[in-house]
Amino acid sequence: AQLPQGGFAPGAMGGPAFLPSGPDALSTGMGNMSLQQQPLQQPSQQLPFASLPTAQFGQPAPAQFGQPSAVPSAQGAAGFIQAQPQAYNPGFVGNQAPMLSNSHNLLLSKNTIPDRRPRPPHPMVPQDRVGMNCSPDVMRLTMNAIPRTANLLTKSRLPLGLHIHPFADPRSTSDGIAGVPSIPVVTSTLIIRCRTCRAYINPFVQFIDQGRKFKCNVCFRINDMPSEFDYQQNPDGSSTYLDRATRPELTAGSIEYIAPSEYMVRAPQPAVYLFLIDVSFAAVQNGMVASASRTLLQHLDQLHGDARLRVGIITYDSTVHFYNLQSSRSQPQMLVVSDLEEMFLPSPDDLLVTLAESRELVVSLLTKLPTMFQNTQNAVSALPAALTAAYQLLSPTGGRVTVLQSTLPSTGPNALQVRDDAASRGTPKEIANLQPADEFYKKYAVDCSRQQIGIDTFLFSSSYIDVATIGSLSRHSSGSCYFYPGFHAARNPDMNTKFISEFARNLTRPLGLEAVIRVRCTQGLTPHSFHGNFFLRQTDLLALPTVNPDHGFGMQISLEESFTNISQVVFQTALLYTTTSGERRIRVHTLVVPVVGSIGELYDAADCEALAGLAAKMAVNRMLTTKLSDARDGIMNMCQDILSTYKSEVLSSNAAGGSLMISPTLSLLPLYLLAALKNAALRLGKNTSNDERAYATMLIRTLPMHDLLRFLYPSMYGLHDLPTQCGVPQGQDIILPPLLPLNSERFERHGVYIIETSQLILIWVGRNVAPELCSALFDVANFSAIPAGMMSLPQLDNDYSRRVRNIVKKIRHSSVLHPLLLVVREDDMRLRPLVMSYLVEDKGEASPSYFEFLTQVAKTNS
Amino acid sequence: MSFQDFVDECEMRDGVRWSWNVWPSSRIEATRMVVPVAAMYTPLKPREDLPPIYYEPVLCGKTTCRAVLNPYCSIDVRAKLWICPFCLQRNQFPAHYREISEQRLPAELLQKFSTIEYTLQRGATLPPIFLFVVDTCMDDEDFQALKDSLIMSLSLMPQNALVGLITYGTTVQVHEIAYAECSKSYVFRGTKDFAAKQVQDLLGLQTAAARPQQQQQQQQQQPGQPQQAPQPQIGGAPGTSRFLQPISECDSALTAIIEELQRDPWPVANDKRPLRSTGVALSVAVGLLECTFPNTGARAMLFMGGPATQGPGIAVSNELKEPIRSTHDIEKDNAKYLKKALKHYDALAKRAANNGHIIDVFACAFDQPGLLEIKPCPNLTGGHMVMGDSFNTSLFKQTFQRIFAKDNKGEYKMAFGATIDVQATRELKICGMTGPGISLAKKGPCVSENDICLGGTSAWKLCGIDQATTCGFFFEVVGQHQTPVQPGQRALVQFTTQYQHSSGQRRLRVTTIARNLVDAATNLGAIASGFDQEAAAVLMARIAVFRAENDEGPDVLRWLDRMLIRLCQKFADFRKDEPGSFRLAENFSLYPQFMFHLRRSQFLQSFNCSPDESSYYRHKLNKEDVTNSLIMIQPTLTSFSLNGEPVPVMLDSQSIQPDRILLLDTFFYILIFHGETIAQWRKQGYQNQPNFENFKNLLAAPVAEAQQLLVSRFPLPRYIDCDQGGSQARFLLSKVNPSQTHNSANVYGQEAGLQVLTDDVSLQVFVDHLKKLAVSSSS
Ligand SMILES: [Zn+2]
Ligand SMILES: [Zn+2]
Repeated sequence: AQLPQGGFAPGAMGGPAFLPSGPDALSTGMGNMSLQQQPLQQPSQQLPFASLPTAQFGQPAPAQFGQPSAVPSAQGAAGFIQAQPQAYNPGFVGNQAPMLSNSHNLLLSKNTIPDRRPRPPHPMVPQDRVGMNCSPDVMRLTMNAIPRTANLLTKSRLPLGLHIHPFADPRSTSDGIAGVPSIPVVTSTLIIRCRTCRAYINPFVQFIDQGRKFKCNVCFRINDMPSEFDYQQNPDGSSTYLDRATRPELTAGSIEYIAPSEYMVRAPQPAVYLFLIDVSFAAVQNGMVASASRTLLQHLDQLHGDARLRVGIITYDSTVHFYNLQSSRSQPQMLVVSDLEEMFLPSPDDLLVTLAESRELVVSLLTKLPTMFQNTQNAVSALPAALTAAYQLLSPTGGRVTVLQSTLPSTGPNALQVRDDAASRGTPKEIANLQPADEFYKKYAVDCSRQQIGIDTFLFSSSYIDVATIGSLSRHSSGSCYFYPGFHAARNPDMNTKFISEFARNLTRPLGLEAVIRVRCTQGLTPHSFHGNFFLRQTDLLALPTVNPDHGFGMQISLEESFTNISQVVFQTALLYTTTSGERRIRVHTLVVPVVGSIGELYDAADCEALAGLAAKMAVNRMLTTKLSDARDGIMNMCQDILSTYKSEVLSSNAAGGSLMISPTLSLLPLYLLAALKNAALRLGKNTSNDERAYATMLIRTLPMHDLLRFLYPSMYGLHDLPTQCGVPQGQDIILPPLLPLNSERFERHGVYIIETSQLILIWVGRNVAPELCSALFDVANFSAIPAGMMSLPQLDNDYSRRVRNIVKKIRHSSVLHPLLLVVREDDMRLRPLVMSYLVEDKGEASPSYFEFLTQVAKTNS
Repeated sequence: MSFQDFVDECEMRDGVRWSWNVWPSSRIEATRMVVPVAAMYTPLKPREDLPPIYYEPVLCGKTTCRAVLNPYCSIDVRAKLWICPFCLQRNQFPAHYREISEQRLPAELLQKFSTIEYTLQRGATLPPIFLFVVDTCMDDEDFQALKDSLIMSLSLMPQNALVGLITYGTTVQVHEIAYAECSKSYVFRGTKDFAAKQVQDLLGLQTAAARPQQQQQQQQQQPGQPQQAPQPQIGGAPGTSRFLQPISECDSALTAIIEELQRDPWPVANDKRPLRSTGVALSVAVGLLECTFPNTGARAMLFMGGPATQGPGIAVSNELKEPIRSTHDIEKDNAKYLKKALKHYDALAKRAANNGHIIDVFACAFDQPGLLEIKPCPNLTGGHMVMGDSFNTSLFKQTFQRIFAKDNKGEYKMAFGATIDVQATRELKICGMTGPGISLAKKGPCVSENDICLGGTSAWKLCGIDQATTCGFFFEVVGQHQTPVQPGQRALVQFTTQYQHSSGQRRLRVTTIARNLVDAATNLGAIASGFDQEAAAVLMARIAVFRAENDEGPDVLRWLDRMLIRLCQKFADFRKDEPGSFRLAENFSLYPQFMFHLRRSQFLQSFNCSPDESSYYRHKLNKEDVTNSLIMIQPTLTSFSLNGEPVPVMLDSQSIQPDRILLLDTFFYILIFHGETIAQWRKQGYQNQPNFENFKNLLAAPVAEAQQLLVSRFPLPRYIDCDQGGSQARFLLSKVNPSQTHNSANVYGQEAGLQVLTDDVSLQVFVDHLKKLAVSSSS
């Protein structure tokens, strides 16, 4: 799918049309090019239902639901469950047709990756329920069908798991796929739930007895349908009949209820934000304090909350500094507590103030912070003591603690020591060092969780900072952890930009408080082994003092029963949380998938990205509990098992020897699994620092599927031969160029490539790049004039520059992290290895190329 | 020259008053004199005529002596020699004394400079240090008044003075004064005691040794190593300047900090006292000074609005239902916090004293603020103890200002870090000292085995001293009974006081005193004639209070009685068993009366006097001179009438007459008492009528007189204006001799005075009793 139009194809080099004699000529030239629009080639996987009105959840058009049999009505939807469950119900619609005949020989396929990533498959549902499942961005199973029996699942060797992203923002992804739609909110106080299992009513329940009862699709209990459900109370006392077909409870896969007081343990608390800012020498010198203060100041008014919103700031070095920001004061009062052994609050209140009242003092303090410590010689940092203080401060209300840490906490109780050394890398000790060094941190985070305190951690360091230990604060308290190795605001301005952007996102992103998540599934299915940042309060209840839209969760699901007389199963995620404006809400997502009876059907329903994501999460978990080799073996075994099972169970046994056949749905799985093995979290070798590995494990644990996938298998696009329509705004969207395989053999000497890793946006410039491109994109004469370590694209007034910048912008927008841009010249010996490390199809330091990997797998497979 | 003139002159010239001005030559005789040979000495008594001396004193070469050259030394101007009268060592004059001749003598050899002051050139000039320790648990009005006073005091301090601020309540805050960005303080838990080292660590006052390590860590952290910022230093440990700044530099900053000080923010329930961490605050203050400016003049000035209610030094719990210990509780050993608190403050006081630091206590509260517990601090460091009802009173405000008072030369009356050394010739040994100081435990041949008060040493330290500070020194005569006395033989005592003048200079004041020795066995009259009954009474009062303070409460009165009787037996004229024949010489005649009033004074009686008040009164008695002390023991009473000049009258109920105005001065309060008739006239407003000018003048006279007294008194006395029959009159009635009580008839037929409702014996009864016992042959 090479589309030379509109790009700097080598043949175009030197052509007068591309040799700008001035800005006008250039823009004219570009403008002409943009006229040569040509539709992109449709990738083969792009199936017709891409046009399904997924974006219309919650606002069903009457025409769509008016069909007599489509809506559970008083006349009965009893016929919904078919008498022959083992056969595909012709009424089921999914985006995958059986493709048994379409097996894929991995060893023969040259193009490892299609132009576009395959869309997450939609599970097949009855025709009249199409569009009523939640978005795949919110809930995604590793297979969009559930085996009828446990035995079948075991035999398939496919891990059954579920990714959820329950608090996802409405956003679009870099695939141009509509992500999470806006969610309808039910304002009525009537919340209909199964009386036995407490599942929420959903579009897939079965109504019986003329709609007066419904059968729970989780536990099968027959529940009464309250008659007031069908009526709306009017202010004048009368009531109006409501059509069930218009009710979001019965039509939307994602829905939100406003919870009455029964759902509250206590009155909704105000949104409380406490910032813990390291002001030790390193933090001041690397510019973190200044950057953080300015960013916070800038976004102060965008913090979510009502009039009660409260903020507090604690800074610390060898001592802990509190700030009395009581509005009656003329200036902030700094209270230093240096008795780290016995931390206490130096003031009963005024350390957390209502922003609306004390805004002036908060602003004053934030304005002063960048210079307040500018002459500090204090090299140590008493984070644990500051945390103890934060806990005391927030215990009554709960809230969010944001830790900005630039130094290894090296003083006071629970101080940390450098654990990372070259000698331990690649040894079991290295893995041990991924566990918190001190029990305090985990225990603290759990205590915080109990008090509804969530901790976000921003770690900046030029050397070891013990991400594993400090990050565990966020892990158990449902917070986010951000890591900026080598941070220096002045010397590394784009790292600073990345921080500012991520911090701004962190400050302004939606926030839920006092949250719990429970996933209910049809009897016989049990979620277990949850992955993500939370505290498991009961076997199936995830406690999240704060919930944010940037975190996903994974879980494995066991199957204990046989589904002999049902054709579909339900997965329902309920997220109970308090909004920052003091409302208790319940967000309910429902996913229904069919039950299938054969391994072939399972393989055809498999979601290769979800599988890879789950495999990575499981491997990370395994690495932390056992050892790295076990984790890697697990992935290898999974790959081999799936391939051999496919061969033996799905294909006829007489399949050609030497071939490595797999269902098209899983054709990318080995590649993704290899990518996982090469990820910083799981790779071998001594080049991965302990912090880097720890941070990678954290990302794998928390990234939502979209970002996780890019973290495992980055997206690479060519920029030197940009198809005409790429990078040009199309409505709200920007079309990205076709994907390229992460394979250095595909690099062209004159090529310019962009590699999107969820963490980084690398722009690779081949040595023979056209000078025109250099000037249009980098504002330099030629390749050798590109400055080393360039970290941003100049804002040049030409179409090409604009389009590339649009692409970069689009990539950044669709990522929960703010990927850092880095221009790497082919001859940059320092950064070249970094780029190469992302080319997962290549042979690496201690890892095979994709082909070698396949060969290895094939060997055991035969 | 009369005896009184002699006493006055000695007091003026040398600041000294002796109980005996002629000394017995033998130990036996001395013991029989009952009142020890002792001096009330005011080391820094101002002497306008002293020449400034900028050279070093000449010291006796004997290392165990080191006495200073003085007018009583024998000198040989030709041989350039002098003989030390204390150890008899012959000393060569230093080279620069070679010009010495009979006509050209250095000042220190002149008789009129038996007291002389050297300004020492060695050592750096040190600025004085003032560290405020401020309670924040008080009502707004008091707090505001206190803040105003503190701010005002900044303008009274020497401009080079270093100042610091600690506030306390539930927690203790040390304020960083030099912090430009915002107000900043270090907060300490109010329940935990801190050693000096901890205070130093917690305030980030690193020692030089700790620094390279920090540097190293930084290098590890950051390859691009910054320059070490120069740390401004003023003599103290590094970082000190953050907490103690020269007033000239921090005046406005500190003013702003004080202005913005807020009351302790922790909520206090209705049934609770606020949490006051006084003990910790003081501990932190002492620790801060100890690690920053050891052996430099400094005052920690504690302002407390109530008793400590938590942490070490707690005086009472914060439960209001639990009252603070009373005299009764203490007697019954029911004061559960007392011993621990005393131990805490005593330890603090000793630490401060050892470092030359003063602790002042200003306590203003309606209830007892816990002075009993905290008294070691001012008592051992030479600090002030001031007690009042509220910081919003002129009593506090003016008293506080007076600390910064200057003398005629424009120099501060306060001084710092004094050590007083006493030398005596071999006829005498030193028994001890009473005064606001501690022993330096300097042993030597002239130190007696018999301690009186702070004994066992010949040197003491008074961290805080001012021009009025007066100590009592007690001596023992050690001569053998048979040793003959040469005519004109005398013994010498030399006081050398080295101190830090408020200008920062080190100064040395030397007073050398000689008194004749006589053989008491043959010449008791000479000895008796040298008795200074006022000095003796005050010295005995000091011993009595010292004994009372050291758990000998009830025994003290008996001891005083015994001493009085024995003195009378020794020096009165009488015939055995004939009380009527009892006569005392004039210079003994008032002594029994002093003892009578001392016995019933608040120094020795706990009736009507809280433990805190006792501590306060005793504190004052222990540092004032003879005149002031006598007023405390036996207040003065002046009578004003239309018939003539004001006259001093007996402190006796007889003096209370309807047509008189009385002015009572007890040192602690000044009371104007209007007799019944006067009060009535005043009520009717005669003073406002033109033809009653004389009445108006009469009313004004005692007020003017009282104003005179108020001018220089420290602390400012409480001022009471009352009428006969009014409730405030009780202050007078409790002081006067109850010569007429409801129990006694008007025996002498004198002009009827007021009957006082009391069971106390009257002076007459007391004296009668004394006579009887003194003349009794059986005792
Ligand atoms: Zn149910
Ligand atoms: Zn000598």
